[in-house]
Amino acid sequence: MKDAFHLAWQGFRQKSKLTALMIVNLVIGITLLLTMGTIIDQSGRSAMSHKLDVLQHLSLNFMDAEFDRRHPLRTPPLTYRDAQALSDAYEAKEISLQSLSFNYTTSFVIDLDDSSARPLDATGSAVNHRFFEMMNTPFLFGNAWNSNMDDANVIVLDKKANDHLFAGTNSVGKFVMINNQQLEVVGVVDLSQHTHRFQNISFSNRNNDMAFVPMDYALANNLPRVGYMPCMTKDEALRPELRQTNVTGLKSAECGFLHAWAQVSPDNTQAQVDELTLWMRNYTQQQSTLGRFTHSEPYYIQSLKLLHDTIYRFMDWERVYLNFAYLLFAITLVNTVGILLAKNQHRAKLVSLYRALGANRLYIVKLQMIELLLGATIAIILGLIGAQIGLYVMYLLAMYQMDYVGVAEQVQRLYSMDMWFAFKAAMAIYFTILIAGLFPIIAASRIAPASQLRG
Amino acid sequence: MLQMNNISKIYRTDLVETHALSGVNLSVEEGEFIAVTGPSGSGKTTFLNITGLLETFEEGQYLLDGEDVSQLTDKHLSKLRNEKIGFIFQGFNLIADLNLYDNIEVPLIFRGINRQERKKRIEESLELVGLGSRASHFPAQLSGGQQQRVAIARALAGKPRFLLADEPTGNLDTMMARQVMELLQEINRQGTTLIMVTHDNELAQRAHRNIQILDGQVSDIAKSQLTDLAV
Repeated sequence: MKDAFHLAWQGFRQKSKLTALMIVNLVIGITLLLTMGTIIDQSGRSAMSHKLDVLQHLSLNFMDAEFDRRHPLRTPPLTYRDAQALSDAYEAKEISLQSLSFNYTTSFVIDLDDSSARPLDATGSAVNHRFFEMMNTPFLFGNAWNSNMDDANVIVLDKKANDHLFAGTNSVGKFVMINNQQLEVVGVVDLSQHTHRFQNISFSNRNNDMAFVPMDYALANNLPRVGYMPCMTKDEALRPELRQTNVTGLKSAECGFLHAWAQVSPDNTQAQVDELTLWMRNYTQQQSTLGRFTHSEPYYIQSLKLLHDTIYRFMDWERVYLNFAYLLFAITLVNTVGILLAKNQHRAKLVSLYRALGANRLYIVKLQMIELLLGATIAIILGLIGAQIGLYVMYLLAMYQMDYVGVAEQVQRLYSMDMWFAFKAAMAIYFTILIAGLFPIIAASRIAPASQLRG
Repeated sequence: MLQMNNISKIYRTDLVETHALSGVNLSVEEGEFIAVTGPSGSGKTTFLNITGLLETFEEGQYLLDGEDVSQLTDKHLSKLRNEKIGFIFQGFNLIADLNLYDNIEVPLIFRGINRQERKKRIEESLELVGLGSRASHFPAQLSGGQQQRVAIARALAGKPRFLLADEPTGNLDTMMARQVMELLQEINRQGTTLIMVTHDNELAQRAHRNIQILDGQVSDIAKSQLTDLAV
């Protein structure tokens, strides 16, 4: 094999300009393909891939009859009263679910008593205790709060906030200040794998929660509602006030701000979804007698998978670029075939000499395969380097597009190639290059040697 | 060693059929030195290509060491070419990017000979052609005659049963041609069968036996006839 490699290397070096052209041509195609492939691959990933079918986002559409949802990510969150009804039904076991959690997006400034760190302007979520287990939030330190602590002065920090406030040390048991109130840190989570902020179905890839506070504490202390909060026309004028100050009014208003997630059993998914659907239908029908739920679609139940599929459909431009990258790669393969054929013409004499000296057709194919693999390897390595540069440029562009307000680590994750993806892509590219190269390789092995060796 | 019975070769295009060889019968014994002469287009090169298993034929039988080559696969034919036949071309056909050592090594690699044995054979064959000290030189650094000697060394390194030389001195000046011919004769004296195609009747006279190809037909001719032709 070493000798065959040596001979193939000699062949590879012949007509070096054509060889270089072939490699440059492949590098361009591979770079673009890997860059766009990575972006699409990373965007399509979910930190909750094992729960895509069992996590269901629930919505009771209290909005006006003419409300236009536009797309599945603009599904109205629950009003306070509907969330209460759902929670009561769950507690009363009227619906069988593995778990049910609520959250709303809020923001606050986190400070330290001793001012040892700069105050942190954080967006976070108000959640109930079941949220953490349901979302598999990975705890670096501590744990979630208990079921009887949904109104306690406690907080779970994300790693980014913990790094900022406590220099990454274990902050469990320490205190932070929010609105002049002390909250004890009970846990630190690392959401770096969560490239999308899916809990409030914004699927933002710019930033994620910096902290989590208990739902009842947040409502009791009037932590603002900063996420998507649609209101019925009759309450629309009150919306700014309901967002910021009037939590009492919010509890009776027709404004949705609570995201409800149900986790159904993986063994009994459909039956539990059906049961949940039935409850939502009955509830909205019962409420319609009170003049509510006039919309033609009174409720929505959407799996996390469906929401991810929706996100994928939104990536029109990325998919156009990916298809363009596929097309360009196909063109580079055609070019490669052409360049290999041109190389064959130039070295027909060498192949003929090899045949005269005793190389059989299979050996010629083997030499050419090794030679092609050499070229493909160099092209793939350079393509991978090119893709890393391409991804970095795309990351910078993405940050620029969002006026640098995104969390760099989270945004960069979408533009980072992981080794397994790179390996799979490299193997696929090897395979396609080899397939494309078969025709010129077989053609080279069929050169009639006698005609080339005269003179 | 080599037996051809009624060999015919036809080149076909859409419009015309060319009978390059017609009913060739030839027997070559071990250790012979045969010169093949004939005018341009008479079929000399086709004859040499068929003898060297580089071309197939339409009719007849070709026995190489008793083995009917028409029945053999490409792999088997390649093996025979590698082990039993040494080629010497008019244009030398050395690989410009390889030094002399590597050039001679190529057929030995195809045979799967180990590195140590290859080294021994390459050094021996280079010594035999008088280029033992130039193993690391590249073909472009040598004269035409030296390049042809390298080609001979490459053919000899495989210890072939016979050498096929196609106008081996065609690209050389008189002095170099004489040196190369003397080398070939010496190789033949040491027992290697030699079949040489040449236009040069003077060179052909050095062979033990002369055959002439005319319009695809092969016939033995006497040396005196060659002289007459030369005159």
